[in-house]
Amino acid sequence: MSAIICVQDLSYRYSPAAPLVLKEINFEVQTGEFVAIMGPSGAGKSTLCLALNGIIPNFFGGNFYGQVSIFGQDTIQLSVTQLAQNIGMVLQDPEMQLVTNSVEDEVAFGLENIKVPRDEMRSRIDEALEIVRLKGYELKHPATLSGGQKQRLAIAAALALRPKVMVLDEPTSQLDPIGMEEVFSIIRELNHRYQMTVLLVTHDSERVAEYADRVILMDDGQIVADCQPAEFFFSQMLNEAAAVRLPQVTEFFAGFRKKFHLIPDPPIVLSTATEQLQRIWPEVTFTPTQYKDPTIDPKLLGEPLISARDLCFTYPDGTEALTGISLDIHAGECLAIIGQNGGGKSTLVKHFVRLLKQTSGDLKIYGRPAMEYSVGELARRIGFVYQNPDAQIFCKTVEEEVAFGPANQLDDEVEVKRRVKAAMADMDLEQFNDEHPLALSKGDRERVAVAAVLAMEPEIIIFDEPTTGQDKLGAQRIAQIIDRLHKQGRTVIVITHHLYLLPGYVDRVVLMGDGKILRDAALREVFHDVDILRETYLSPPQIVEFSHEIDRISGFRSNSLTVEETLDLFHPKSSTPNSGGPSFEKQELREQ
Amino acid sequence: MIASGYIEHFQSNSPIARLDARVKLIMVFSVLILVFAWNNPIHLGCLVLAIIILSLLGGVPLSYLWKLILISIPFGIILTLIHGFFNKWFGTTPLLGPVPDWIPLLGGRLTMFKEGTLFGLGMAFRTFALMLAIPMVISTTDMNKLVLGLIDYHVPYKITFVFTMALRFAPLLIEEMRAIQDAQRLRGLDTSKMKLTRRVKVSAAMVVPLILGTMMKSTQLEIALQAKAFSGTNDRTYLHEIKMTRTDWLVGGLVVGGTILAVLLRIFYGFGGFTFISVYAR
Repeated sequence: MSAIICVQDLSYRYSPAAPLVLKEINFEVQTGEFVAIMGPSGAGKSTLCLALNGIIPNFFGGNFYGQVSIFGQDTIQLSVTQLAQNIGMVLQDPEMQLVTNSVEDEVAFGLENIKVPRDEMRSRIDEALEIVRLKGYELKHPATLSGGQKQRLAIAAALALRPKVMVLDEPTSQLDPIGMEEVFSIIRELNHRYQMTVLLVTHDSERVAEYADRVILMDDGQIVADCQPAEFFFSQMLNEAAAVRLPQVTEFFAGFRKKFHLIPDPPIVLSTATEQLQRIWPEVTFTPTQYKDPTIDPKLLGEPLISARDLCFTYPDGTEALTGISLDIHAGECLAIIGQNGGGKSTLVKHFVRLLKQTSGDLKIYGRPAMEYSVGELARRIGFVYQNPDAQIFCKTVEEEVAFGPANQLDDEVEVKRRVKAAMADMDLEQFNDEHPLALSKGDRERVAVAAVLAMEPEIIIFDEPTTGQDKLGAQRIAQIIDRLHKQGRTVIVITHHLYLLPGYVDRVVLMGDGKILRDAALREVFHDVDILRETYLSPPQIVEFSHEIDRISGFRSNSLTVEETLDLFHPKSSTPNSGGPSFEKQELREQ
Repeated sequence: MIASGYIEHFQSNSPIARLDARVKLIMVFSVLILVFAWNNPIHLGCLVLAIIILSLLGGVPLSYLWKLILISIPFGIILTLIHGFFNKWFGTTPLLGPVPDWIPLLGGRLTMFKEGTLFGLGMAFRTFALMLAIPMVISTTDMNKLVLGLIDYHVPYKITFVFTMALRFAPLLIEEMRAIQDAQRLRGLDTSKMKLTRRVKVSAAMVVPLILGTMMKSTQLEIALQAKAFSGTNDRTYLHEIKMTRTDWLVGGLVVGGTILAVLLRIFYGFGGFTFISVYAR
């Protein structure tokens, strides 16, 4: 193997007055390697990607120190055309990288720019679309493709230029689970089958563990780790303040190791985790357990706050977005709505705040038909937090921003001030009173957006995909906010694709697909309903898949949801009289 | 159908849709010349009717055309009223008014004149023709062929690219604007109950996140273009090609010939001029 990319002493700042975003970066990438770049938001990952394909400094300018070479050639010396043919680039936002009006034109765009003759262009388009499995879509408009198809098209557009290296900057962070699977399978195929060198920026630890040959961890513009995935996750496991989420099986074995002192190197993928468990099975005691969550008799819940019966919604162009939706949401529930994009999740919750009006069926909010409310009236009772905080920030100071909602509702200035103060205290924003909201960090802006909704003192709060594009800390922070609001007695509805975040926070899951409710049950029940998840192309958290492997080994059916619950299934061997084979503390299933 | 705000594209295989983009561009130029050469409401009305018929034949749905006309109607009414009340150039035959003497301040004033009203109506048709002519071409023409047509007329590629980008990204901006408006409504903002000054202030507040979002998006777009080796020069190849058929030459010739004839008739015989109709007005 030879080095295809060589980065030496690379430091960079966007302007002379700005701080360094890359600091003394040094690494090499060999031909055919699959390198994952991980790290928290703002660590410099995207800037590094732009430096690899010469867009930094050739296009952005700034202060560039050190050297980046591709095949031994300095990127500063190469033209845009040469660079694009060496390094293909796929960005995070599927919308903003597709610039033409049809699939074939999108693939042709780069080829036209590098002056490929028409006949050759045709064959390269066919070849690229074949690889990303988009043959037959040539004349479709990119806007009509799903998120996963759009990203595959972006990959095809880069592939057509026949680059040696593919750099992908969080290509799946805005996709639904199907889209993620589609894109990851293509990336793996490019690396395995076509021996393409891949550099992938992602927060998806489970997939990094499975696909990558090597992980580079960045923090504050520096490389803080550069090693093989097993070694990487092992070191992260020992680090309490790890910036990267561990694969759940690694987390499980880390706990196992503490409890039993048995596993020298915890596994990082599901298959090896299962093998490891089989190997050590005779040395531990397994207690098959059926966990049972506390349930409340629906009669005791009282009148539902939101009640939908046979709710249907059809868009003006004839697209049926919701059909026959019936559900009740009671006070104090924490409910997650999950499913693929286009399944009707956002369309449904927009009915709860009257941004949409049903085509047929009944919707009652606080016992009154929803039609009787205006958007403003409902806003007093139901808060709605968008995925992108920046779309809901429009005032000059944080205080004004938080006061915007209550000031629209109330004439009593003293009450407005009281609410603003309370909401800001609740979200730890007091120190930012007079700051411009857009001058804050993304995490702080999110809290401003939540505080702005909280100041209206709604009883129900809806979060629409709050964790999309978030790193480990960002996702955890949002989960904590949701938990805190729920514990304060508020009813919380959250739409998300990040299923691993739900256990511990959410009681009930509504699974939607094709505008219908496919399943409405307790979280545990839905996550262990393998058939329905498979049918809807959803993957449960890795630990739930691992618990199914445990079921296969033990012959018993357990239903753990978290790493802690799964660990509780195992006990030291000495505590049981049996030895020589799998031991069971209790043969009867116990309920907790 | 792909929506791009004001302009939408409709797939069709009708003879009008199949015409070469260059011929359709000639048709737009011809409309531009005729709307400014003529000021007679009958001629301009016929031109609007011709554009509507050609658009319908090209596969543009009547509902879409009607939407565009509805947008133009307020301008049309304002133009007609302004000319009706204040344009005395072609005659002062009263149509309505003046306001009865017993009404204070306005009594004995504000007469609406027949000639001015008819002239204003012509101006309204001129607005309709301009509003409908561009979508007539763009809505019925494949974007690639339109770009190649413009390139053939020596329009720099950079300009045609900006034009196609605007069509591509206009819906995204509209969507973003709606999301911000929705976010404001969800914070209890009800513009219908507001005074105009407050409404303007609130609308202005929307500009900040919109500009910020647009700037972030344009930076991403620039990166994507760089990664696709975009330089903006005309020195590039094209996947598609356009060829003029015999029908294209014939239609193009007829349009050019017809326009020249109409202009000559206007210059030498006043055809399409307002004096033509002022006779009937009396």
